[in-house]
Amino acid sequence: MFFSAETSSAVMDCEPAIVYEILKDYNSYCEWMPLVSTSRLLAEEGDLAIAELALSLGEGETMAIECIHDKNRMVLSRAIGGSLPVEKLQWDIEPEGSARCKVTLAMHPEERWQNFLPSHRKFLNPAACLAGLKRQTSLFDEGASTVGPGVELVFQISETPDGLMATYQGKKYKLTPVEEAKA
Amino acid sequence: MIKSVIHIESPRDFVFAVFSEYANYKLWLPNCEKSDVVATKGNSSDLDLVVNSMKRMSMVLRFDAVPTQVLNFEMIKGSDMKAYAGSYRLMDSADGRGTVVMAELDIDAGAMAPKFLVDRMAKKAVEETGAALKQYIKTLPPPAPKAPSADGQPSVAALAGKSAPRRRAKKVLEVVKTAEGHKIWYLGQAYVPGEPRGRG
Repeated sequence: MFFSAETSSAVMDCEPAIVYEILKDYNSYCEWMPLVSTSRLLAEEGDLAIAELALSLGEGETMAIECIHDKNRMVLSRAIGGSLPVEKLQWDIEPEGSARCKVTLAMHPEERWQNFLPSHRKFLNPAACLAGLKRQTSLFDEGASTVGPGVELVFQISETPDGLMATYQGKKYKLTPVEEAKA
Repeated sequence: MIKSVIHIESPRDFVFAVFSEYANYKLWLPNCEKSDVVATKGNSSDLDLVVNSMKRMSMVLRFDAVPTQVLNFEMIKGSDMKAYAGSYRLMDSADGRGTVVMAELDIDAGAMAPKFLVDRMAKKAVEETGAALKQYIKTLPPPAPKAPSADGQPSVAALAGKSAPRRRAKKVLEVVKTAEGHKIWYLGQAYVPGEPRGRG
């Protein structure tokens, strides 16, 4: 059926907690989810969150989503406003051996004529979403440093709980926005 | 069930106070001609409401409130519709600048009215209600700023609205030097720069 759920799975080389934290970080969906141009958390209370995503599908394509979290196991998002092709997104996370997990994404399309448009079909692509998620997990993989024998670190920027940090020529620096440094 | 999200740049307790002043609904609810409170018991109130939109509808709605959190309502008297119920759930905005209201509305207009048409009208009504409420709140005197706590720390309510800071370090950019030249890693993807260009 044209409006049946599109489902895909992928194995991630990280703990389920990392995937769960990325999926709960609605402000960063625009960094990894295909076709999401801006994203922001509107409100959060307990296991419920309200977020807003804007898609680069056409003019003014935004959607508000309500999300229910089951720690390290599942994130379920339902569209509650806007005009987007998806009614429901369900991310299931299962541990898969040591420091690995399997993520399954089911995208349930909204029954709208716009879903016949190629651009909207492009959004309904769980495999592409999972590829973006996998790439995002690599940003948090502390053991995945490229530095080793014969490889010298020249420059690195990391976002940490203490702020933006840079490493340059073996020294660590804390970065401050110019406006804040002046103040 | 129709759902909609409304963002209002006023504190949650203030927005809740506006929502729970039922007698004032005629001042802001679109097409509302009458809003008389006919009974009140604890956090429950019955409101005699007349809305003159596509058709003039008269009903008594029962509101049940959980102060500053949620306001449920349902029709307890009326002949124009089979069922009319919904809720307003209030949450602190994550940016700490206001309130996010999740509005829900479920209308059953009977067998004669197609569901998709009723839902479309309900969606429009919810969106118009949100816009009207925002406009009405702008006309009210702003709420008094809350006094800072004795220890000078931000209030729990203020903190509750903030999203939790990122707990793990996130690598954004890395440049390394190898025997083959420089390599760049940016947001999970590796890049190898091309041949350096000569000057001039």
